[in-house]
Amino acid sequence: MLVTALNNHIGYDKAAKIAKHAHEHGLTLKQSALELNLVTEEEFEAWVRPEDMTGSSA
Amino acid sequence: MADTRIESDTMGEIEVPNDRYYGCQTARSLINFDIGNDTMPPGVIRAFGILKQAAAKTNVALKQLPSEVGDLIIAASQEVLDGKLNDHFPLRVWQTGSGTQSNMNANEVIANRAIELAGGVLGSKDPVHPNDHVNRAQSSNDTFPTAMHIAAAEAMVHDLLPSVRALRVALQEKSEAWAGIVKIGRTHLMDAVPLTLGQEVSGWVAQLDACLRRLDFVLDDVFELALGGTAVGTGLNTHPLFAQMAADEICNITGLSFCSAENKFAQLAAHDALVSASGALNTLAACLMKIANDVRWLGSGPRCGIGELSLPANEPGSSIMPGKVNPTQSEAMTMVCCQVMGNHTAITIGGSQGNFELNVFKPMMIHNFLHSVQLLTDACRSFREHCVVGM
Repeated sequence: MLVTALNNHIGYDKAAKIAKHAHEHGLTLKQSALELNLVTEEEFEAWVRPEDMTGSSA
Repeated sequence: MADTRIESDTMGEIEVPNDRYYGCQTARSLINFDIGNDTMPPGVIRAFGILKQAAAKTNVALKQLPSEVGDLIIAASQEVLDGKLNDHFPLRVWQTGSGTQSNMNANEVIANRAIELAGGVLGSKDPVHPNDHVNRAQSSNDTFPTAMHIAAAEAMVHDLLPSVRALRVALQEKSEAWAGIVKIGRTHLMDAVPLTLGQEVSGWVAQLDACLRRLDFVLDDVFELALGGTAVGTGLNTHPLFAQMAADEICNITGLSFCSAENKFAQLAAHDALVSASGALNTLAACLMKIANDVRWLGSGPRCGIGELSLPANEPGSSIMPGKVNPTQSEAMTMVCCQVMGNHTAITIGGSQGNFELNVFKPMMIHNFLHSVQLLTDACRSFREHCVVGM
């Protein structure tokens, strides 16, 4: 559920599309996000970081 | 106009009634959880209105939400907390153990009502989105526990405590009025040594005073809120100041002394505060059971029983025995006490069943807790009005 980190950037519905697409096609979240053109690789690397997901952020 | 409209969520499209503000996830829950007749208590629905409004105000103040969107959510959630939209919350208690569907029910109703206020199309999620705006900086996992504590505290402070205090006052008056009546004391149900009837009743008053102190004590833990913990307690997707400011807003709206819990992990994963508060209700039930039993035994007869108390004759007691009068208020009270003790057992088991970061017995726990509070509130009032004052 690392995709939750994308909520504040692209919204819940688009984040859900990435998660479902990844699950259906056996892709990583990043592959799925890039295939769907919903984030860039740089954005994904910056936003989805488990070590940054353990607390609140401004 | 058609009776239904089509709404969509991440699972696809579904029909929802046109005259309801709720959306897909509520509609799905109605199909998937057609279990029993127990619906989410009005106190929990009001609590969701309170916390959604507090979250929107906080998110606007922290620039996490455009003020136009925030104002619409604040207006719509006011209608929820005022009870005007209760007909739009049809979900059962017996649903997901996190209460997610009831949180989404609140998000959907507030979003659609806000959209209507803005002149938009219901279900369009524009200009107010149920997840991205109404649920901003929140998860069901922290909002439902927050709603549980708000609903529990409001019911205890506004309903139960005044009702128990009033019963205590009525019994105190009897204790004083009966200070000069000497009677036999009984131990093991057998004759013991003398005391006054006033002294006997003063024991009941002291029991109730201790129960009131216990209720005050457990309220401190109920005032601690989970909001700001989000999915697992870390506060993911919240502004660092959100939890504290949202708790302050909840204090402003309710006038009660809520605070943001220091550790959010415990607030999501366990409900020890409610188990403890239910324990205080359980103790009150034990106390009331004793008082109600003593009252009906002392009032037994009138010719062939103990006959020391004369109980009010409120209604015919028998369909076959003419003139019979029964201690019916004691019977109602003792039945309520049994139910509260049963509810406490269910709450205790549910509270013990958390796994890792979440307890998933939440709707059952708050349903039983509020059931106990309401029964005790009403039973204390009924027992006082229809029995104690007329003794």
